[in-house]
Amino acid sequence: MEGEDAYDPALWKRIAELGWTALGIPEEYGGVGGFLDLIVVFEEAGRALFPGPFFATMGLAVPALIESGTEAQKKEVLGATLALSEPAGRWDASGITLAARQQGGGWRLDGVKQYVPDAGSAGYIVVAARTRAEGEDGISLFLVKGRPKGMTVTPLKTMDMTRRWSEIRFDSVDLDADALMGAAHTAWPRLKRALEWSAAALCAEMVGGEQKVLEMSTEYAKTRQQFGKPIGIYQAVSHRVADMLVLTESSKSATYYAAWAVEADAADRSLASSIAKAYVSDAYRKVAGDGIQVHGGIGFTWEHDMHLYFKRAKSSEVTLGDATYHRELVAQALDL
Amino acid sequence: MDFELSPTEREFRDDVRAWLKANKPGDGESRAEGQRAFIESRRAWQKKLHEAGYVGITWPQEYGGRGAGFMEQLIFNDEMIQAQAPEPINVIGLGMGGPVVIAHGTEDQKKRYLAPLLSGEEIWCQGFSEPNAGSDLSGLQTRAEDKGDHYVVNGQKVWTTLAHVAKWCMLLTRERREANPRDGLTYLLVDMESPGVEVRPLVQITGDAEFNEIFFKDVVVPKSQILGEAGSGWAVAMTTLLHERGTLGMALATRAQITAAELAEHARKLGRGSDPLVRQRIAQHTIQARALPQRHPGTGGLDPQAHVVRAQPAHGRDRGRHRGSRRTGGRRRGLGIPVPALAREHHRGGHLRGAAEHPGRARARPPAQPLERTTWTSPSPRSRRCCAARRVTSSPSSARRSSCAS
Repeated sequence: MEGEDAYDPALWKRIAELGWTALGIPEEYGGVGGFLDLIVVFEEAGRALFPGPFFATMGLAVPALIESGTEAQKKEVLGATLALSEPAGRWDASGITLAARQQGGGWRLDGVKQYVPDAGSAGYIVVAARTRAEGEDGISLFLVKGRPKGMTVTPLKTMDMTRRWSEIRFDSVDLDADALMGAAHTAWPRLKRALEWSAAALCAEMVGGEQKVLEMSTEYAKTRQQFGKPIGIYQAVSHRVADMLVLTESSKSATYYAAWAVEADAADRSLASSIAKAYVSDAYRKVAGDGIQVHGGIGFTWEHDMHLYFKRAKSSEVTLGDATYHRELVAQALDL
Repeated sequence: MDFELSPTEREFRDDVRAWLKANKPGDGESRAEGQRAFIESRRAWQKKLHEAGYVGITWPQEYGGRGAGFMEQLIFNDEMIQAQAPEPINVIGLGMGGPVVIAHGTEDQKKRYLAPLLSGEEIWCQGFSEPNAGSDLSGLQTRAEDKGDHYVVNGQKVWTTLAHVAKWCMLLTRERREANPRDGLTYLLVDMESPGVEVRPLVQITGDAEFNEIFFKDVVVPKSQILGEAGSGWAVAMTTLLHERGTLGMALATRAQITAAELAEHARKLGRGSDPLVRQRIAQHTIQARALPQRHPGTGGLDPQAHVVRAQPAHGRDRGRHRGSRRTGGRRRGLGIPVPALAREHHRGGHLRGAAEHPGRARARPPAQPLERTTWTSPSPRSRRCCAARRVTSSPSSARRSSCAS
C-alpha cells in the first residue's frame, strides 16, 4: 500500500494465475466464469482494502472494453484503467469535455482527466473524450497504450491512501485511428452500460469493507471493558453496531441484485445499479464512521486500520457518482 | 443468485392473479360497517381464500395447508397487495399461532388447532405483554398454578390484538420462580370462552379498538393445552416472536415498496416531479424500500436476520419513510436456505413486538447476551447462484441469461 503506485507485479502475477483477472470476461478473450464470480473477488478485495489496480482493471477498463472495444483491443489489453471524470468531478456525459479531433489519419486529444484510479501502473487507459456536440451525443472512447508523447500522468495526493489516483494531462496527444473503441461519437450508451458493471463492482468492494468494519467493531465491543463490563453491554454502543449490521445487510442486498441484473441484462439493470450505488455510498461512509466511534480513541489513531476503511469509504462514495447523483438517476427511471 | 420466477412460479402467480381478480371483495367493505360486521366479512374472506388453497401455503397438507414453498407464499403476498385485496381475519394465528403449534405442538394439538385456524373459524390472539412486562417479557407475573391435571391461571395481559373476537390465546405464564426468570415459564393455549376471562378494549390513536386488555381470574386450563413442555415456555415464546418478526417485517417491507410507488405517482400527478428536492426524496424512499435484505430467516431456529428485517421497516417508518424488499425477495433457490413462514397478513406494525429501539429484541441483545448475534458470515453471492458453472459469452448480457435457466 505504501509503494509509489501500490502495484506489486509479483502479486498481480499471482492474481492472474489464480484466474481472478479472467472472471467475467468472455471465453473467446481468455475469460472464464461470470460477473457474479468476479463480484465475490471484489467483495474480498474490498474487505482486505486491496491496494492494487484490480478495480481499475476489472471494474472499469474491462467492461468498457467488453462493451466498446474492437476485437483487436479486447485481445490485447492487460492491466488497464478508465479515465472518465475531469476537474469538474462529474460522472455524467456532460462532464466529458476532453477534446478529440480527427487529425491526419488519427485523433488528437487535448484536455485533463482527474481522479483516474491506478493510472500509474496501467499499461492501457480507456479515455472518454468529446468528439462533437454536447451531452450524450458526441462521446467517443479511445484506448491509449503506454505513454504517448504529450500525455502526463501525475499522482494525486488524496485522503484515500488505499487507492492511487492520478491526473492525466493530454497536450496534443496523437493517437492512431485504431485507438478508437467502436464507432465515433456514439459511445455514451455503451459507456453507460459499462459503468453499470463498474458501479456493481465498486459496491461489492464497499460491501466487503462494510462487513469487515462491522466484524472488527463487534469484536471490539465484546472485548473492550469499561466500568467492569464489555462496552457492547451498553445500548449506546450495541444499538450503533446493530444499525451498522442493518446497513451492511441492506447494502449486500442492493449490490447482489444489481450484480445479478448486470449479468442477466435485466430490464431494470440501470435502475438496480443506481439504487445500489446510492444506498451503499451512504451506508459505507456511515458504517466506517460508526466503526471509528465504536473503537473510541484507538479508532482515531494512525496505527489502527479503521481510518483506512473510512478513507476508502469516502473515496468510493464519490467515485462513479455519489448518492445524490444516483438518486437523480433513480428519479429519472421513475419517470419523475 | 437468481431473481427471476421459474415457469411454474409464473404459472402460480398468474393463477393467483386471476383468482383474486375474480374473487376479491369489492370496495364496499369498510370499517364504517361496524366492527362486528368487519370481523365477519374478513372471516368470510379468509374462508374463501382457504377453500381456494391460498391460506397456509407453506403449511403441511396433512394439517390443511398447501404444502408449497416460501416462494409461492411470497408471490401470493405480492399479488394480494398488488390487487389491494383485504387481509384475512386470523393474522396472529396465521403468522404466529400456526407456526408455533407446528414447531412445538403434539400430534393431537396439530390435529385439533390448525384446521379451524386456517379456515378462520377460530381466531387466535397472543397473550405475552403485561403492564409490568413489556420489553422485559420474562418479568411477567401472570401465574399458572399446578392443580394436577389442570392449571389455574390468574393475571393480566395487555396490547392483545383481536382478543375481543379470539377463541384461543397463546398465553405465557409463570409456573415457578427460578433464579433465571426465563426458567419456570409455561406456554398455554387458553380457550377465551373459559369462565374467568374478561376482555376490555383499548382505543388506539387511530380511533380503532383492535387491541385489548385481558384479565384472567381463576381460569381453568387443562394440561393438554400446554404447548411445549411445562416450565420451558421461554423457548416456545421465542419461536413465536421469531415468526412475528419475520411475518411483520416482510409484510411491512412489501408494503413499503407499494407506498414508494404510490408516492412517485402522487408527485407526478401534482406536477412536483421536476422539483429537485422532491426527486431526491422520492428516489430515496424507493432506494430504501428496495435495499431491504433479501435473505430471511429459517423457521427452524432463531435467526438474527429476522431482526434485521424487523428493524429496518420500523426505522423507515419512524422517519416517515418506508423501506421494503425486492418483490422477489427471499428467493434462495440453489442454496437451500429455508425462508420464513411469511403469512400474507400485515399489521400496522406499531406496537407489535416493538419499535426499532426495543431493548433486547429487534436490535440489541439483553445484557446477559451482549451482541452475540450481531455478526455472522453471510453466504457469498457465488454460493447462492442458481447454477455453479455457466457458459460465458461475448457480452455480459442476454446470452448468459439462458444458461441460468436451470
